[in-house]
Amino acid sequence: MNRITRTLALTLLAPALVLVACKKDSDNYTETADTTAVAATPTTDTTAVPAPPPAAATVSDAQIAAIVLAANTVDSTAGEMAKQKGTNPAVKQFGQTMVTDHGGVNKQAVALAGRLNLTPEENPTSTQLTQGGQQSGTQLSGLTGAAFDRAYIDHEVEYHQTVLDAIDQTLIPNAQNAELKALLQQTRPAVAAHLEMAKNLQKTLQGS
Amino acid sequence: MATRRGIRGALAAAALAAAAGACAAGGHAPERHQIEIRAFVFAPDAQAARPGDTLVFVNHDAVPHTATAADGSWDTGTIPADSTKTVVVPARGGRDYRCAIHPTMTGRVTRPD
Repeated sequence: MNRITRTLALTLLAPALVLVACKKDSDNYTETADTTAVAATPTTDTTAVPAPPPAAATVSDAQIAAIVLAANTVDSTAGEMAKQKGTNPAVKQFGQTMVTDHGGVNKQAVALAGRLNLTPEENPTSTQLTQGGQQSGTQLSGLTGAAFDRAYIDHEVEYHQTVLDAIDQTLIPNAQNAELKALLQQTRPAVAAHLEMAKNLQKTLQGS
Repeated sequence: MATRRGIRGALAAAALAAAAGACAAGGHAPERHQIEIRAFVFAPDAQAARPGDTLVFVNHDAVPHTATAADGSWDTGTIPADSTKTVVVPARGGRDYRCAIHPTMTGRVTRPD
């Protein structure tokens, strides 16, 4: 795992740890059997991050809304950079797709939040997603050519895997409002498709 | 009489046109088949259709998709979120198709029994 990828993985893993920590400290703590939220992240450098306590995170609907918005915005921003700096046409196209798709999901999320009168509430996860996106953006901006293409796609594989894990293990299980839960369930296939597309591109770039 | 002959002629022409259309479709009247796009899946993923039939793609997702023949012989173009696009099955052309934006989404037009 290269330096940027490791940093991204740690950055994206951190919110899960924070969520777990928040969960432990919360008043309405409830024990669950799901202990795989962090351990299941396959690319995590486990030597650098302590193992999480055996608990799943709890987040409110308002916090979930903020996480969804942050996650989509971060990847949309990265996509914009790929459109500008990418050299491989497939990488540039992938960046465009991320801008379009994550923009579309965010539009849907904003509309739903408005309809539900739900004000997105910033929380450690949304904040760290945003900060992690800024950090990875800084790192990616220092690269050019094929090195940028590879680092960006590596980032996308890591990012979508982490977001997918978060959707499955934290966001969907905690969503209380049925429409919000449905939005997350509708978003999941998009993230899964993006992950597959990024993995395929990763293989292509490794072979070139 | 002239008017009656004109009506008869028009009816005959319409019948001929209908027959020609049926011939173009292999002896069958063209049909419409609806394919739903939901959660990044074409449903049904295999649709029986004849050349001349119309495929109606309805995109229920929040993001745009396409239905594009793998060999490029037909293409709906971009189907925006919550929109519908149609395409007529050509006499010759690929039967496998995919979303050009999300290539993991695939479908197939099969030949009716």
